[in-house]
Amino acid sequence: MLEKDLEFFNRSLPEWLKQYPGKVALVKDENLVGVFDTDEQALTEGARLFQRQPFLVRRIQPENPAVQVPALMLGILRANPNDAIRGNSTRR
Amino acid sequence: MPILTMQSGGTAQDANGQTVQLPPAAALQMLGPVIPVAVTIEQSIAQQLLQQGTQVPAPVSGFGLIDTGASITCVDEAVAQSLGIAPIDVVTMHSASHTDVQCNVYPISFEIPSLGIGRNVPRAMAAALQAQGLVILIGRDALAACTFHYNGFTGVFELAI
Repeated sequence: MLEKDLEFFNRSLPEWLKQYPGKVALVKDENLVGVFDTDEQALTEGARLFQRQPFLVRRIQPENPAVQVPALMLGILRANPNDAIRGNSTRR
Repeated sequence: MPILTMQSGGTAQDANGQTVQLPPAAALQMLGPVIPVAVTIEQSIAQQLLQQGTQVPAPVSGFGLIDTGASITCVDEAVAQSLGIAPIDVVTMHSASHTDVQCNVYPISFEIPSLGIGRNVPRAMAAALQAQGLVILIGRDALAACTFHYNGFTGVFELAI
């Protein structure tokens, strides 16, 4: 869905790092629509222009921060409140 | 700052097949800090859609697990898709098999209904959580402005948000 815009982002990144370091890019159909200070600002503009159509929002930085979710990475997530051990949390 | 105080509970089967009540401490250890949540689309997108006269989908209710091991919040992909929003990015997650997994990123927000407040999460990573009975994993990005107390002795946890 975002493949072409991701390729465009990666191709453009060296130049954008010089021009807009640390900003958040809004990309649609291989065009840089704008750069913003925050994700929220980019999302607002993306929704204003494109409603629910796909658009890319990514910070302009040398590398994407590593995503660490050990429970998913290791496949050890076990929290089903409806599982054999039936559980619940009640507000006190 | 509103404080959500929860006590874990649950039942299990003993060796004779009888259903027994779990002590809160055991339930919290087994299940983790799970809270009821309602997931919807990210707030700035929702405001834009409303201003344009576009209907915003109803929130999806379910359970969220507070996961201090997760650097970012994760949303069940089927839940994100049911909200009618498109992914805004892709991130790479390394799995135990050392194979990189590409995961979509969705802009969401979630509310804790009993508190009437929640958190905006512009970048939530998609994952398959439904098998665990969850709609989100609440990661450290959402917890950045919260206080979380986990009392393993009593099976009680508190989230100030």
